[in-house]
Amino acid sequence: MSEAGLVWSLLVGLLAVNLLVSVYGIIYGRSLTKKLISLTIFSDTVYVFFIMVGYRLVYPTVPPVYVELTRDQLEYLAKHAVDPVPQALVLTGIVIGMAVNALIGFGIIQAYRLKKTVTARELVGFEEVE
Amino acid sequence: MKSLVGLVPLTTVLGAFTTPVVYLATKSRRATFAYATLFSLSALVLSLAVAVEVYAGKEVVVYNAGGWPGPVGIVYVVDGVNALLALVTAFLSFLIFVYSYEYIRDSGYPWYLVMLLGAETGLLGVIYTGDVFNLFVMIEVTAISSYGLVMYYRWRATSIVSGLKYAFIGALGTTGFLLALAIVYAVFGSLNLVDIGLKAMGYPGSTVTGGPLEDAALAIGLVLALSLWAFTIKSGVFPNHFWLPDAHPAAPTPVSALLSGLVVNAGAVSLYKVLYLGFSASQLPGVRVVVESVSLIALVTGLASSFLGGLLMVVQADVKRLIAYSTVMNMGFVFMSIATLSPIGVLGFVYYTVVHSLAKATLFLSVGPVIRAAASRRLDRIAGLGRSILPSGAALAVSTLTLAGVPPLPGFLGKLLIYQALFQYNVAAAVLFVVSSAVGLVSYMRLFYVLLVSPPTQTPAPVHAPLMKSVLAVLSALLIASGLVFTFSRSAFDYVFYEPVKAVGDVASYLKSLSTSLYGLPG
Repeated sequence: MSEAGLVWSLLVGLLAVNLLVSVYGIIYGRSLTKKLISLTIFSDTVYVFFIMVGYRLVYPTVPPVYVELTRDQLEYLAKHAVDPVPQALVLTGIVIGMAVNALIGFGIIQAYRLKKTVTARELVGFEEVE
Repeated sequence: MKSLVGLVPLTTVLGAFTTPVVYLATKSRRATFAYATLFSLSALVLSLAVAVEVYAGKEVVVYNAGGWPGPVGIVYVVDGVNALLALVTAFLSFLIFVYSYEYIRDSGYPWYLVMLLGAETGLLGVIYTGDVFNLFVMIEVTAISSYGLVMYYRWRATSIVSGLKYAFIGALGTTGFLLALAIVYAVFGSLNLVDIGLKAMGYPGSTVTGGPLEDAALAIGLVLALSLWAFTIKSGVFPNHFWLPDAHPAAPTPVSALLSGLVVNAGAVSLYKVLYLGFSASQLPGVRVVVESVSLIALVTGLASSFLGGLLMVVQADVKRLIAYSTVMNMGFVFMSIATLSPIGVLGFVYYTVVHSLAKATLFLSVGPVIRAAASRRLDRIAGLGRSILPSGAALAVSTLTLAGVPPLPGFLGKLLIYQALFQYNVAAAVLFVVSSAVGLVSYMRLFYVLLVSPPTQTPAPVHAPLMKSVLAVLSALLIASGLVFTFSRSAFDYVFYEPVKAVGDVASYLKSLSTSLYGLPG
């Protein structure tokens, strides 16, 4: 296996470990705040993986921006720029993730105001009325 | 004419963003509600126009967002199935808006309307889209609005905690789906469903997104497993059903109707798109094995879900929880129907989804006035009240019997279709489906008996709500009429359901016919 391939597999393996740890945190975390932090770690890991999909090991690198639309320029870009699509997608993902995290953060604050605790186990099981 | 498709989700999202402005300008409850409802009505009219266009033209309408053709741009692909599901979604959402005017009486209503319009936008997008990343975005739009709606009663700890549970598990699922999309992009170089489908079948696909694949069975397996996980969460199907019976009852009753009737469909429609349209046509041996095992898993989870939902319905004391478990059961049926991956399975899925949406929304909306009159959700406190609140009682009877599958109401035909599809797939699965259906029947009959037959334990306060009552009257009349029409008139059923499903029934030729309109050259 080439050196680059080894580094690549190592990175993917580390990301997989990161995913497992964060899922553990979401499911077994005792405090809601810790669950939220685990959730952000989970989504960030996915974003990093997505960026890696578009990455290419080339040198020299150029930003994927069209300066002038000539044939030479395009060929040079195609050889030396990373794939911009995953970056755009991850940007979208981050915006959406921020909305979800803000909403969950609000929920945790509200739960604390009502029940004076953010421990998941103490927050379940009470009477319901309508 | 084709730009109408793009306008449908845009209308509702425009309404969502401008509703707070109208509220701040007028401070009038009536004006704000009228404004938001107008946008929902426009979406209904537009989706009706799209449905008429698709049904009359007998062809698939492809809309390129921003003028960029697929697979580079985002495309909306509207065939008969999508057009029908979107029309039902827009229709029910509009009725829920009308109903909410009399139900939501506290000061949070402008934000309630924003989230309701947001959820409608997401659902319409999920149904129309032909791009998997856009599917992810639209699922998230639906999901964020639903989390907010579940937490609407923010002074109640139950709502907040149920909403948080829903939000955590939902965010985990959709982020998993994003991971699946990363793998899709790495393998196929494309996010267009048609392009992915053609490449998975071994065709070259688009030249823009790279050449054909050698063997992608391993990656497709990962993608399908992660997607199935996300969609079971979204639909509340067995291993991931546990948030649903907490979240749906915690919301205000019109929202429960929206969540149980429409939002759960997002998962089923996505499964249909990814598993059936995306990968089921592939004849490559490696891919074939993967698709078949994932569909078997989907069938087993669906079956487990229907048994679990049916059994837990029996022991519930809270009427809204009982109905929420019935959603778990019915989404299990829908997943089983899709998992057969046959045209008749899709027919069962489309028909049953439409019927379940209408009936479940009616059921939730009809218990609303009863709960308000009794000021309780406990079955023993609301016993017999269905009879004294008239349109409510009638709607309750019709929707319960529809869900139980009593002919000639429309639910019977839906169960028959799913039974046929399962019988072709595996006889044991078909038998188990009938057994789980019978388990559910017991609970529906209990609900029917407690609310409509048993003697009342209290005299209810009079409920003055003409809009709520007319919504219920419209819905129950529609259920009875559609039951009679589709059960007895073969030509009506063929026109509305069979013809559109026949068009997507042969996935390979469906994808090939779309490739012409996408790339301008046959696949």
